[in-house]
Amino acid sequence: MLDYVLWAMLGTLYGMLVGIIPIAGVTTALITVFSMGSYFMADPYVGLVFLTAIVASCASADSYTSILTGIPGASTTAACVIDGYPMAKRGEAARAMGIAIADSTFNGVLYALLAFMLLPYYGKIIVLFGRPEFLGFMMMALACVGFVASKNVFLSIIAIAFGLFLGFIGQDSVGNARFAFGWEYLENGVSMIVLLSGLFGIPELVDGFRQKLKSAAPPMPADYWKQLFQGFNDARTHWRDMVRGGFIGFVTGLLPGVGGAVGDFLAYGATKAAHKEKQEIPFGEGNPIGLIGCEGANNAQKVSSMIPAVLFAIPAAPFAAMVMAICMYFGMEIGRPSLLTDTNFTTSIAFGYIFGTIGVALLSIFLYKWIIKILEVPYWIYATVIIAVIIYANMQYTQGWEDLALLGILSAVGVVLKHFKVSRPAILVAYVVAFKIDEYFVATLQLYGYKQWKPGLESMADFRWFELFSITNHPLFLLSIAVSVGIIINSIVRKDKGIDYV
Amino acid sequence: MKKLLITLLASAGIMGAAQADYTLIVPQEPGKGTSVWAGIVAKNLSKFTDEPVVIRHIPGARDIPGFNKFHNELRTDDKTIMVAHGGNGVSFLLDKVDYNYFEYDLIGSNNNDIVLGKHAGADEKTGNWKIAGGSGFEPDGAAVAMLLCGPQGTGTVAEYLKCWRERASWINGVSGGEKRLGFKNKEFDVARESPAAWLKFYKDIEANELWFTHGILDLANKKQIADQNFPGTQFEDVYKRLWGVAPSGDLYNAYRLTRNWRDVIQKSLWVNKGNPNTSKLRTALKKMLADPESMAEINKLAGNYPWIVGDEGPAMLALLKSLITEKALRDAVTWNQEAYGFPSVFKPELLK
Repeated sequence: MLDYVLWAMLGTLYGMLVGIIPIAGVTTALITVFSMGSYFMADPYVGLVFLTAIVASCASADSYTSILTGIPGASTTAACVIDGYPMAKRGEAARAMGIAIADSTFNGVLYALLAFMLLPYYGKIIVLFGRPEFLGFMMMALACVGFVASKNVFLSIIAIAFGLFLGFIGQDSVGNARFAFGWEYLENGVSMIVLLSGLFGIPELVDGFRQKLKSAAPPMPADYWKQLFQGFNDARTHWRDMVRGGFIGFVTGLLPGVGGAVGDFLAYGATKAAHKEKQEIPFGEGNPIGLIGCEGANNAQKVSSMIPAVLFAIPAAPFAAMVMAICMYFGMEIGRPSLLTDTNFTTSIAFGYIFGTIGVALLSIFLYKWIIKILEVPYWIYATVIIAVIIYANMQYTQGWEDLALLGILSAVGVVLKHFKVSRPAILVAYVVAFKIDEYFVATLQLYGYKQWKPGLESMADFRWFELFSITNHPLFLLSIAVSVGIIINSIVRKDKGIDYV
Repeated sequence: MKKLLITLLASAGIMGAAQADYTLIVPQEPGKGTSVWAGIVAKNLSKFTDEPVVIRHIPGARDIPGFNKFHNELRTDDKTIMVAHGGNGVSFLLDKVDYNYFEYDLIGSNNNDIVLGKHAGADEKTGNWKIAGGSGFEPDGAAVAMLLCGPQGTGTVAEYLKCWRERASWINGVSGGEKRLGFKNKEFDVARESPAAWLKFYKDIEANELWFTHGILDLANKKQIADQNFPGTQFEDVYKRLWGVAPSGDLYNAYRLTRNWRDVIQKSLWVNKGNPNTSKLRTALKKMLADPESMAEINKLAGNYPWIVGDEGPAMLALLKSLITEKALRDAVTWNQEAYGFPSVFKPELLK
C-alpha cells in the first residue's frame, strides 16, 4: 500500500511539473516516462497508479498554466484561455485559479468514480462482441475520427490512409513481413512510443521554438486567499455550468481520436448558449462563467478517453494511446476483457486518478508562488530537457539506433503534417485500428467465408460465398457499418460541421 | 538551431551514461510474454552477477530477426546473452533461420508446458471446431487434430489433413487477449495458454475445462512425463481415454518433434560456444534458482517448472536432436503448410 501512495505522490508531482510547462501536456509527460516501464514489470498495478496520477495532475496543471499565461499547455486546455487569461490579466488570477481548481477537482473525481468503478460491469457488454462486431466497431472508429475531426475530406482521407499504412507495417496474419522494405526493424511494426513522440511530442516542442515562446504569469495577488475562495464560491454558485461542462467533456472523450480539444470548446459553446442574458463581463473578456463552463471538461474527458482504450484498445486521445503503450511495456494487456474482472486494475486506475486530481489541487493552492517562478524559466531550457528525455525514452524501446532513426523520420513527418493541418489524431487512430482491422477482417473471413484463408488472391477460389450470408445474424456489425457510411456521407455533404483537430 | 543542437548533445550524454553490462537479447518487442519474463529474470539475475544485466529488444517477424542478429553479429561479444522462447525452437526446425542452437552454450532453460482448454462437455467426436492459432501453436494444432479425429488409417499426415479440413477451422492472426475473449463468448472452441496464464485467466470462466497439457520431457529417463501442476492431463493419457488406444503414426511423430523443440527450451538463455563468462553466468543462474524471493517472482509469471542448467545443455540438445528424423521433419513441414498455411520449409541440413 505504501508503494501505491508513494508512486501516486511521485506521479502527481511529476505530472504537475510537466503540466505547468507551456506547450507540453499529458502525452509529453507520458512519453518521457516510457523508459521506466520495465521498472514496473514486477508489479504493474503500481505502475498504473503512477501513470494515472500523472494523467490527472498534468491535465489539471495544464489548465492552471493556460489561465495564468494565456498559452495552452496542450490543445485540450485551449478553451480555458478564452475567459481565464483575461481574468488573470485583470488582477483576478487567484480567483480564476480557484474556479479552475474547484471545477477540475469536482469533475475529475466525479467522473473517475463513475467511470472506473463501473468498469467491471462493462464486461457484460464486451462478451456480446464477436469478430464481426469488433470489425464493424473499428470501421466506425475510423469513420468517426477521420471525418469528424477534420473539415477537409481530402485531408481526412490522407490522414486515414497514412495511419493505416503505418499500422499495416509489420507482419501479416501468418507472420510474413509486410511493408518492411527489407528493414528487419520494421518487421515488428512501428512502435507506438516512437510514433507518438514523432507525430505529437517533438512537433509541439519544435513549434514552441518557432514561436519564440515566452511565458510570464501575473504576480501573486495581495488578496490571494480571498480571491481563491471567491473562485471556489463562483464554481459552487454556477454548479450547473460545471456539471454540464464535465458531462460534455465526458461524452466527447468517448469518441475515438476526437476526445481532445473538442470537448472543451463544445462545453464552452454550450455555456454561452445557456447564458443568452446580457453579461456584466462579456464572454471572451474574462467572464468567470465561461471558465466554469469549460474547465472541468478537460478532466472528465481524460477519464472517458481511457474507457475505449481499456475496453477495446482504441485510444480516444493520444495520451490514452501512450497509457496503453506503457501498460503493454510492463506486461499489462490493455483492451482485454480479463482486465475488467480484475479488481486490482480498477482500484489502481481509480486510486491513481483521484489521488492525482486532489493532490494537484492541494499543491496548486499552496505552491502558487512557486508555480509562477517555474513559469519564468525560459522556454528553451525546459523544452531542451524534455526533447532530450524524449529521445532517451525512445532509445529504450529496442536499445538500437533504429529507434532514433525512425524517431527522426516521424518527427520530420509530424512537423510537416502539423504545418499542413493534417489531423494527427486521425492518423494515430487509423494506425491503432489498422492492426485490429487486419486481425478482425481475417478472422471474420475465416469464420464466415473461408475455411482457411491465406494472404494473397489465390485463396479467393476457396471462398464460400453462401456462408457469408450467416453474417446477417450479427445486427451490431451491420449497424456499425451503416453508421460508418452515414458519418462519411454526412461529413461530405455538411463539410462545415466538422472540427479541424490537428 | 543552436538550442536544438544542445538538445541532441544532451540526449547523447544521457545515452552514453546508460551503457549496458550483460545484455539479454530479446527477440520480441517490450510487453510480450518472453520480454516480460526476460525483464524479471534480468532483475533477479543481476543480484548474483558481477555486473548488472540489462535488456535489448530486437523484434521482427515471428521473433526470428533478433536471434539471427545474435548469431550473425552479436554472439562474439562476451557479455551478450540470447533469450530464446519456444517459438524460436519450432522456427529452428521449420523456418529459414540463420541461428543454430548447436553453436551455443546453454546457461539455463525453463522446461515448460502449454495448457489447452475446451468448453465443458464439448464432444471431441462431433462438429466443426474453431481454433484460433498462430506461430508457436504448431504442436497444439496437431494434438487437437489427433483428439478430434482419433486413429486415422495408418496415421499419415494426408489422412489427418483430410479429417482436419472437415472437423476444424484454423483462424490465424488472433492475438492472445482476443483468443481469450473469443473463447469466452464461444466464438472459438479451444483455449491455449501458458500454465500461469491458464490459472490466471480461466479460473473464473464458467463452463470451461482443462482439456489437455503436453507434459514435460524428463531428460534423465528420456521420456515424456505428466505435468505435476496438472496431473492426469497429459495429451497421451487424454487421447487414450477418449479413443481407447495410444496415439501413433506420422502426425504423432511430427507432433512429438515440434512439441519438445518448443517446450524443453520454452524460455532459455544462450551464449556463444566458448564464451569466457559461461561458467560465471551458470553459477549466477544457479544462485538465482536457489533464491526463494527471485523464484517466487519468476514462477508467478511462468509457473513452477524445472530448469535445465547449463552443464546439462549438451545432453538436452542431444536428446532433442535424436527426435529429428527425415520423416518426422518432412511431416511437420507438410502439416504446417497445409493445416495452418504457414510458409514452412524442409531443411535437410538439420539431418546432418
